[in-house]
Amino acid sequence: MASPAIVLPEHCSEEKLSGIWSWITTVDHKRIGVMYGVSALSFFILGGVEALAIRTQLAMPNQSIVGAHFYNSLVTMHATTMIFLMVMPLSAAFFNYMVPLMIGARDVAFPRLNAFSFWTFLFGGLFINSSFFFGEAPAAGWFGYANLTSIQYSPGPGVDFWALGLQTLGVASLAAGFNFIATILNMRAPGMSLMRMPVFVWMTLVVQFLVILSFPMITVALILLTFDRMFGTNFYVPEAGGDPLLWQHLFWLFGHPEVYILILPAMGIVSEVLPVFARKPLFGAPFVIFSGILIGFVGFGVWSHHMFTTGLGPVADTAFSLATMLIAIPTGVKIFNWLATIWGGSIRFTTAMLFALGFISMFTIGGLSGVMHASPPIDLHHQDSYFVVAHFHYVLYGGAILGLFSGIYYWFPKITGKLMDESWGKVHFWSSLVGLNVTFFPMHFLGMQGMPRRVYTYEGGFGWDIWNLCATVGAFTLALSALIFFINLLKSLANGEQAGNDPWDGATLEWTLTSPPPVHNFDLMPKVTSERPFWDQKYGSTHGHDDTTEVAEEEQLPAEIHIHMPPASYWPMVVSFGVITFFAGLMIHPVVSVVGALTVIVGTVAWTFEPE
Amino acid sequence: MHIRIPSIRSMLTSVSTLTLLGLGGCYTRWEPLTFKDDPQSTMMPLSDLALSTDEIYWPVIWITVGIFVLVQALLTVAVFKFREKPGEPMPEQVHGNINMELGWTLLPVIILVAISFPTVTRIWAAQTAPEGEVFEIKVVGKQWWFAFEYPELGLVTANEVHLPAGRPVHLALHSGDVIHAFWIPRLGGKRDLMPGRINHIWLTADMPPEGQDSIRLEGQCAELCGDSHALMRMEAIVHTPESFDKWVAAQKQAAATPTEPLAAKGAETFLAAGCIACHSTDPSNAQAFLAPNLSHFGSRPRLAADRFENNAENLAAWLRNPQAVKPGATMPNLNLNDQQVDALVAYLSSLK
Repeated sequence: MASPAIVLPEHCSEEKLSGIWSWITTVDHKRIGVMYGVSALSFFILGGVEALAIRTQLAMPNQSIVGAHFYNSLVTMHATTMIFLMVMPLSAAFFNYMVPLMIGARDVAFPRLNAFSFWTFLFGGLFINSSFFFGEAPAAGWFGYANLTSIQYSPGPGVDFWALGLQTLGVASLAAGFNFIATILNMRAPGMSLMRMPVFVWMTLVVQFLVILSFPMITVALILLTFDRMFGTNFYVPEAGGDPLLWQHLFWLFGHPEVYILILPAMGIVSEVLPVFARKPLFGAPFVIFSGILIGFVGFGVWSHHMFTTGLGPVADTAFSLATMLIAIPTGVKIFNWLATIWGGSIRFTTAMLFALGFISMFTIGGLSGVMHASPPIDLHHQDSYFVVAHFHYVLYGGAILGLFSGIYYWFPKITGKLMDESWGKVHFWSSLVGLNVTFFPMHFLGMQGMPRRVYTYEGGFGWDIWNLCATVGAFTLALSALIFFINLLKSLANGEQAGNDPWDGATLEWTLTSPPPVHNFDLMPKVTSERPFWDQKYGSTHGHDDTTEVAEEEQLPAEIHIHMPPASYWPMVVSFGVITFFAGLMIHPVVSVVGALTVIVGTVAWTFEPE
Repeated sequence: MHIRIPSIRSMLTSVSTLTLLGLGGCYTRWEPLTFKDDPQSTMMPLSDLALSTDEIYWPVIWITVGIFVLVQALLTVAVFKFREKPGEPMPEQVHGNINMELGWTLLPVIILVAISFPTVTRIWAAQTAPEGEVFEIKVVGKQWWFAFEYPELGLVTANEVHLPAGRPVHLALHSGDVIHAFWIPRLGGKRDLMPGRINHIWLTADMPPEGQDSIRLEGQCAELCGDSHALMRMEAIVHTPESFDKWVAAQKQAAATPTEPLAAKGAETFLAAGCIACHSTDPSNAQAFLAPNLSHFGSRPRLAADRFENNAENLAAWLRNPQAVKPGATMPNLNLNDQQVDALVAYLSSLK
């Protein structure tokens, strides 16, 4: 399409868009996306090092490379980091960068709120990890069961760092959740009805609803915990009539939807990648979309399957068991839809495609072991054993992380303008696949042999030695594969092959743009006639019955009207800094909290009165 | 024409009968996966409770293996059959097929319904008290050891629970501090020990193998409960009825008064150094859930919550510095000198 000359405001000029300050004050969804990505991958290294320390300790029986307490900190921080600081923000990187491009929008609905989300996430993540330097890292497990987290049984500062850090991350996630719901519902290009939205955008939307409905639950749980620890309340203290089980209900009411918050973005990515590299549309896209929505709904009704051992009684066990089996159905449907997508296609085995195919294969293992412990009699063995460790690593590494890697290889050319090296990419894929199976498959056996999770040491003679050694070897293989990935990333960034606008013969709107896209995204508001607008433009519509009439010329608003470029702002970061100062102050001195609260107020007011 | 529609009830009955028969056919145990030589194997049931789990565990394993093989086979075929060939025309742009999709929605429904019947019956069976007389055992988990009380015998033990085979047993699960979990895999699945509430396990242990009058089963805490969670172990000893009676009689004996001089000195140290403030040597002292009851300590093969072999060397190390053996242990370091340690070792080992 012919693009008229776009005249952008002065603050979008070349020199204003370079240097550290331009990143600190940016409100551009693409730059914020990149910052999410870089932070998430940095935390990935940290969480990986923690995993290696765990596996080194457990390589052989009776080792004491790390002490008991520090080991508990390692498992707690490995999980907290990988969930909240790696998988969630890496997904957020794609939400930020890709969703506006895929729906043909100029930016997200609230660009400065978006910057606020990022800075709050980053400060929260650094705050939790700073605990390593201030006496004690959290050591009560990533689901921090009361009453082990009480001041009596965890007197150190670790649990406070954890609770206040998660609270901060919750603020970031909630702000982002509302922002993306507003963006997706209101800012789609003309013609993009909900059912024409790319499946990745759909999964993003479902995830944001899960975030805004589930995070308030953990917010409440954490406030009660913080009050118990700091102000002497007794919500979770059994001796004073409180109930540790209350924590578990509140936590898993958040925690189970959280599982889908982690996996649905990867499912969305795979649903984009498979059709492109099979050169076919997604098979039964509405089925996949409605399955995602159904998973979102039912995901709120299965939380107590994490609590079958707590003695909720047969009625609750039956109800939650059946609900859990129910949620397996939409998940299974997706697997078959993906298989049908590639069936009869013309498959190109790019690295992105390999990771997407690996996702199908590995996620199936995690899903099936999930079906096993939907049955409480079996779960009473699996719960808190290594079987469950195997299960959720297949879901999270074999599922979420393979899916996210697929997304990185798929969209890296769009983001940087350069292709990632495919040969190194394939080495990365195969070493990941081998590494993850060598690490996590033996853990099924360990669970069946009765090894509980979160044990810092074990004796010989239980049949656990060989599988533990095997898992440790696998973990180092995975570390090697991650190293290959990072080298490839940096090498490709420095001198990767030029990608061009549309290296994969893509179907969605982001591929119509230059790589990297211009700061203002679209010159002309794109017109959308099906769920594959760019494909239709290249090959013609494949929906015989579809409305292919072009959007009338007058509807295509001229650039000066539809391109609104908000000025850069440091106030979002100032407000984020106020938030973390407030929470940190609860551990340091009330005066610090007051300063933090004042910073939030001043920052918000200044933000409000900033020129448009 | 009149079509007779079967009632919901009869449909449910026939479905459940069919699925149970089908699943029963799947109850095939594959020996390498039973981990039969591993003491904490979850796949070697030795009670009615564990067996009922085993009967559903294996069918579910085979079902999941079957689905896994199906998915991987389809994926493999697709990957080899539909790889891009040069000059190939654009593949047919198929958007979906509602009948196929309904088909693969129905398939998991049928499988899950099949699993749900034996699941639900077992949920209820496991949580219903058996009729008739039940042998009561109270379990208390503490950081980081287990106490067991046998009210009808007037006995307490620590870290070893003794069960009569062939008699229904009720384990009433308590916690003295944080959440722990009671898990002896060969006797069945785990249950949490929740502070402020009581959980229950009902089971009847099988007879020990032919020619043995008892069998020792390994177990450990399965819920992260603080620093020494990994060291919070226990053993269940399942006795034949005769062996159980013999054990009860022996256990009811008061702790032996030491005769050997060093042990006698140890008995004095036990009082003087303050051990007695927490540890009881009265086998019936049910109040003493403060610390493990030591009345027959010498007869226990393991020490420090079933984690280390009970020998003079390990015991001395434990007495000198409990925290070095068990991080965070609540037993204080009494700064005992060598003579005191030697005497205590002699005394405690004499408590057979």
